Amino acid sequence: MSGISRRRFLRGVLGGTVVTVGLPILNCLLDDSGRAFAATGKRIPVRFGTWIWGCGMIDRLWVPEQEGTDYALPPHLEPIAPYRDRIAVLSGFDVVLDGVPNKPHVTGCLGLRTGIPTPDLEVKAPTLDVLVADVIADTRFRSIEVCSAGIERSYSYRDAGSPNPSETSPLALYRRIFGEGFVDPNAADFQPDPRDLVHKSVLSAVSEERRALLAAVGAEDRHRLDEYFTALRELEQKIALQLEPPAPVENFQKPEPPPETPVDAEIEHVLENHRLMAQLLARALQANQTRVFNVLFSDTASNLRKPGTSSTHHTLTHEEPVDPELGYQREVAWFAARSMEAWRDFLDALAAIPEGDGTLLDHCLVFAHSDCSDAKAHAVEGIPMMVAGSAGGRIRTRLPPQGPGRRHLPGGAHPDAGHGGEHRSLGYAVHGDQPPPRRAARLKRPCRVPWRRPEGGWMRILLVEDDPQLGDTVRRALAAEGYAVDWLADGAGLEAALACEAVDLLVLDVRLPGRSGIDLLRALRSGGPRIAGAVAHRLRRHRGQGARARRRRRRLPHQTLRDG
Amino acid sequence: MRGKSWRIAIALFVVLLAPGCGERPEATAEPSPVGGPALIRRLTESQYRHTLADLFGPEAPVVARFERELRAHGLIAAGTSEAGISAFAMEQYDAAARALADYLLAPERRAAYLPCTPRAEVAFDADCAARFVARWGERLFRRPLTEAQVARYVDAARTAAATLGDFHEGLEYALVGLLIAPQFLLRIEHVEPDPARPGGYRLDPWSRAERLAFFLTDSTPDEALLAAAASGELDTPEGLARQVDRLMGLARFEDAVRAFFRDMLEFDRFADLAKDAQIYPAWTPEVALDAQEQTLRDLVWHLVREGGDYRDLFVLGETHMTRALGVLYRQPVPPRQGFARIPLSHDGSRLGIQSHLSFLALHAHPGRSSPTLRGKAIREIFLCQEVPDPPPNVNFSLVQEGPGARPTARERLAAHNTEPACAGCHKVMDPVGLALENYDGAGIFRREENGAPIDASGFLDGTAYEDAAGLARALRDHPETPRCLVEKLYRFAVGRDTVWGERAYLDWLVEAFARAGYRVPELMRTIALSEQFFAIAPPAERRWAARTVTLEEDRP
Amino acid sequence: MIRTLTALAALSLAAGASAAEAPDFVRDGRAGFVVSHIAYALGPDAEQAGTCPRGMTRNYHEIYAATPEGRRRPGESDEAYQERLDAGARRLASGPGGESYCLHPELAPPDPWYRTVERSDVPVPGIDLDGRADPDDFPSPEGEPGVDNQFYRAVGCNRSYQSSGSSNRFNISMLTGSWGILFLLEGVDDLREDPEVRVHFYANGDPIRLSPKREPLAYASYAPKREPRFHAVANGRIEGGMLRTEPVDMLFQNEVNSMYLDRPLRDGRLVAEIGSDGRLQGFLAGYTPVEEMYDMQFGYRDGRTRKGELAPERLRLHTAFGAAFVLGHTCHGAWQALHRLADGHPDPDGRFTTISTQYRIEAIPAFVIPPEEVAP
Repeated sequence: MSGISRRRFLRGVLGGTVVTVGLPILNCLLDDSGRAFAATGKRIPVRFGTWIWGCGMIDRLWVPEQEGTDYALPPHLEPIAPYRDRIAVLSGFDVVLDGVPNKPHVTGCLGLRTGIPTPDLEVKAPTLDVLVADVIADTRFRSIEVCSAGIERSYSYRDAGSPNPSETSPLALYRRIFGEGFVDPNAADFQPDPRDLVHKSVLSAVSEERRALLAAVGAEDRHRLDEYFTALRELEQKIALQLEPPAPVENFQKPEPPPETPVDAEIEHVLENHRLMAQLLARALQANQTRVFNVLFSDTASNLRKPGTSSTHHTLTHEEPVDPELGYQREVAWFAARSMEAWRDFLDALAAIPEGDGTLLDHCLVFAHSDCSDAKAHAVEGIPMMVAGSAGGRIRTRLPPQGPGRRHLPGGAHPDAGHGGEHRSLGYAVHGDQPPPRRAARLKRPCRVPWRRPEGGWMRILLVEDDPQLGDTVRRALAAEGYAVDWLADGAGLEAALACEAVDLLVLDVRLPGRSGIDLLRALRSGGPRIAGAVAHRLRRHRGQGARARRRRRRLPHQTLRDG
Repeated sequence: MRGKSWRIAIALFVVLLAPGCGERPEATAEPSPVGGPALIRRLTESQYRHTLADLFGPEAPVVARFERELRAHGLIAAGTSEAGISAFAMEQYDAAARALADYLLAPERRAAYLPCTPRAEVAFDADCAARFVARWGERLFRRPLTEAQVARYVDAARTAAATLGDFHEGLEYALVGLLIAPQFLLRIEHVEPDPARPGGYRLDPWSRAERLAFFLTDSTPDEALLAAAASGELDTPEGLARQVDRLMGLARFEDAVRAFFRDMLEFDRFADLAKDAQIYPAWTPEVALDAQEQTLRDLVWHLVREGGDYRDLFVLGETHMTRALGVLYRQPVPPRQGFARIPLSHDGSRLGIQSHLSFLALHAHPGRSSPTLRGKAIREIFLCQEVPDPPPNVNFSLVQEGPGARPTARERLAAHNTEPACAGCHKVMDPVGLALENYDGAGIFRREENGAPIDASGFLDGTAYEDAAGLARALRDHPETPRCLVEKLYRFAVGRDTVWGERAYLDWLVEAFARAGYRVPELMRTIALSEQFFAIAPPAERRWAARTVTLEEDRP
Repeated sequence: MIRTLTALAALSLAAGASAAEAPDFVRDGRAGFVVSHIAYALGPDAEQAGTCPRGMTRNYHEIYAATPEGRRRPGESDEAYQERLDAGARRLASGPGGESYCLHPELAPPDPWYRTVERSDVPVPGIDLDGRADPDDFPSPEGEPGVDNQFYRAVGCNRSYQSSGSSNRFNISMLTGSWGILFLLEGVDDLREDPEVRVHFYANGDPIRLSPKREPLAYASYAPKREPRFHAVANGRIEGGMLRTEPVDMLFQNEVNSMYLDRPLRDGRLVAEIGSDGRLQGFLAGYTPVEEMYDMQFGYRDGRTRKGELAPERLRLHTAFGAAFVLGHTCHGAWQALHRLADGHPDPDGRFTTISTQYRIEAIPAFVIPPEEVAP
């Protein structure tokens, strides 16, 4: 963990389109006070975690009508009433698809967690929790993932090939955390095990192979080998921790093993497993076994079921008719209500652990979200989110900020969402079908670090095209293939853009107002950043042939990318 | 006269030749190899287990928990070249390595695994340690270790022995290092310059041995194969053929066939499968395991032992069954334990692996069947026809009534098949899945649903059928069926998606498959002996450089 | 008009259905069944029907407690009193030479405290076995006269045979898989009317297959026990969907406390309704030899291990004596009642040796594997 500037952190964590992050969060995670994880226990570390529930919510039962501090709790939020002063409810924030096809229950969830919506599970960036763990995790486990509905997924990804698997059984979770390798922080006598020392030295001997191996393989494979060595190094660090006497933790008692429970998607079993795992997780956090966690309460295409029924929560969202009296789907609402009760159970588990002058919840930042708002339409606008916990007193979460949402869509383009006031909120801008704002405003976005897939298929493309329709078509076509496209209307800001952003492919229109594409390219080649290859392709409008013709011509450079 | 006799001669010649024209054309030669990249492939769970069993005996403990494997392009085998190793996996491999090393070097059995007796218990015998590391390192890394590598692990053993005061414990930790090294967990392919094609590359002999062993035995190269790699035997066509035939004669060949079909049929999804205990009381975890084993046994029996036609898998009327399965299939099963070969149904109505529980129950919901899921699975698994994802904003108001209004799935799906936005894909999936509606969500036969009789007729790409048996025959005769298998088997063998340039090769393979009577072992042999299987394409950077476009001046 | 049309439509549908659908459980005229539930068919509870005006049967402890020495002495602790009761009961259950009356009830004096059902006017389920309506026959709950159910008389005043008691729950031991009953019908041409079918009765050699919720599953495969004595075959007919078989001697098993006992049924017959889904419901009835009945329910004298050896005497004795205490009877009282109420198969001296017994059974479709096809 080298020194990390705020800028680099932003680049890492905000790999998405337009995102502003509440500055207080940054401070608490990045500055010295946050990072001083003193073994004396004087300063209690901040923990971060995510909590996912599937199939969204029922608008009228979840979204608070008022903004501000004194909002009335809608029926489905009533379970969290005891925690309302420690929870911020975020409604009306959208995942901006920007032309990317919406794969139901996937694009919304992963778009939210990585900042880059993708049409499938091939994520283009690590998820938020992985980036946070990269910064703050120096514990035995860099993160713990659990799922209470029997699914081994977690929606926590380092990259497309490296998902983090979830524990599905409370007993297995217990054994992993409190079984072999667990060092009780309050144990009276601590003796470092010489076998651990030996174990660690063997692991470091293996990692000495790194240099030779990386030299022997191709560029595409270096990334995956690097990942292996990162995992190895983490294992080494984990053992190194076992060699140090642990900092004693007040009020900590090693829990008893939980009973063996059935693991499936029947609602009662899910709620029970969730409770058991939440309690274990809370103890694990208290004992500093991990700082980052991810909980998947129910799969994003929620597989929750009542026994004896043939429909899952997810199929009900599509097939159940709207109850004419209630105005919404009754069974779906039942499952949604149970999900919020489970969220309350989770907060209960955290709040039950006394820590410092408060509880564990006070030292956590938990980000709860779903994969969609209206499950029937797989709507990724207005995805329900909540931020709970005070992160050591650095977050004031009593305001339920409301984003622009689709209800507030004026006719033109939207700038970045943000709120005035002391507390900036987590937000995404609304784009919908409007052309994105161009010009300098776009460049204020933080720079991104491109994440490559091993075959090198994915690229960050900078498009310079003055014709709005042509440019829009081209942008959509490329975005639909999964590339991340930025679009400049003229060459004026090109150098600045290239300085700020690491671009893999530059697509220049030859004819541009001001300097022509060719001139720009020459200028770049001579003194600008190093460019491996550039394609200057003449796009012609084909009268009467419509967008398809244009798109077909467009295929050529991107075919080039595929083969290369 | 002479001209006439020439013509007569020619005519006779042609007439004599004529019968020959009706014969099969001669086998065409393999198209020149296109090649693919050298890969890094992660070991699958079954490969890991088989390797440890082959090296250390079937009793050797494997205490790792394995995470779900990554599926890419329809196959886990293709995902191995994209999968990373998560922190959880590293933990588990490490725990497995320590438990295994502890077991193997326990006093009562270490003699079997030590190639030498150490001079003393406590003092460090560098020679013996080096021999230990070299022997097991070569088997684990699937190639001989370099001197530097041996030295590194011997040093690790030396440090460990010094700290713990015991030579054998030192060796234990050296073994732990070997068992979590990237060269063991990842199949890192090495290339060398190809002497036959200057400027070109080929896989080095040990990488070739690896590809052969994991393809044909789902396990690590054995001693004989490693020796063949070292001696250059794999460089000659005869040597290669000898090794291929030898590997295909091993018992592990059946494991390889099983591994392929377990991958293709997506049996890993059984881990997530739950059936409602009230609706399907006969479905137990025992049934889930038996159902997979039934299909795999049938596959091995038919394809390997009987040398049968692949296409006949879809019309097989006999199967292996246990008593637990007999409850769902409603067939008597004589033996108390284990599998017996019996008819799949008493009236021949149930035919083929697509009517096994392992297919029907896997592609269905916990509490009911799903023609759409089953149709999609048939299209994607057996015919390699991709069905796009559903659009996110579907209008469901058309299917809002309760079950009374539309008792059978066919009626419920009628809207999907007529509504323009939905019909495109549903017309492809549903008719096929509806043919299987006589089997409920657990695969049990039924004549009606909610009191209404089930209509299982439909079309599969132009062939009509009345019921599931008709669908079976249509599947058998579908031209894409063998082609899809060839593509998947090839992708499984090379561990990546096929590229456009390989189309000619795949065509050639399909031809060879047909000529061999659609026998799968023959196809595997053809792939293993083909040039394309080992061919390496130039590295990506160079290809990218070759594609750089030069600027062209704008013309008014 | 519409009503007629609908009725006609319904008729034609029904007819069409039965013609088109051969039920799944009949294959080539054969249909197998496994008994999924079995219990004695008994009359109403004593309290409800007033069938035991002289009170319920007492066990040894209660009899002893009613004697002067059996009363609790002032200041006596619970443990001491219990010990005295135990000792007293044991004395009552043994002869002067120490021989146990549970193992040798024929040596015991008459038990004045054993109660039986005297009346014949309460409705008692079952079938008419001897074709006569004798004074000690009962009317069935449907009002049919002539039900022969002397076993009910013998146990109707025992606490443990009331509906809340545990003696009639031996179905549980069947569900654990230690014994079972199979039927196999052959020559079935029509499930509603068939004048000639053959019915095999087997003792099951395999445990019954249960769902995770412990309910019997249909269409499981079972092999009968190999010994021929566990196999019986009779002719039968089906009338109006009701199967009736001719009397034949059958043998099944019972299991108590890991001891196996014979469950014979002389002149046993099956009278059961066959549902369209293959469920059988009805009576398996006949005459149980009194000595075997005593062993099955009270004395366990012939209890055998799985290998067929006689179980240790200690086990048999303790089980019998313990059962008497828990279930509320005396061994010799029950034995005497069974003999007194026996009504079938007289011996050369005219004494009846069997007692009419009615089992209420339910059965579900199963595959009965011929023994020669099963690997040993």
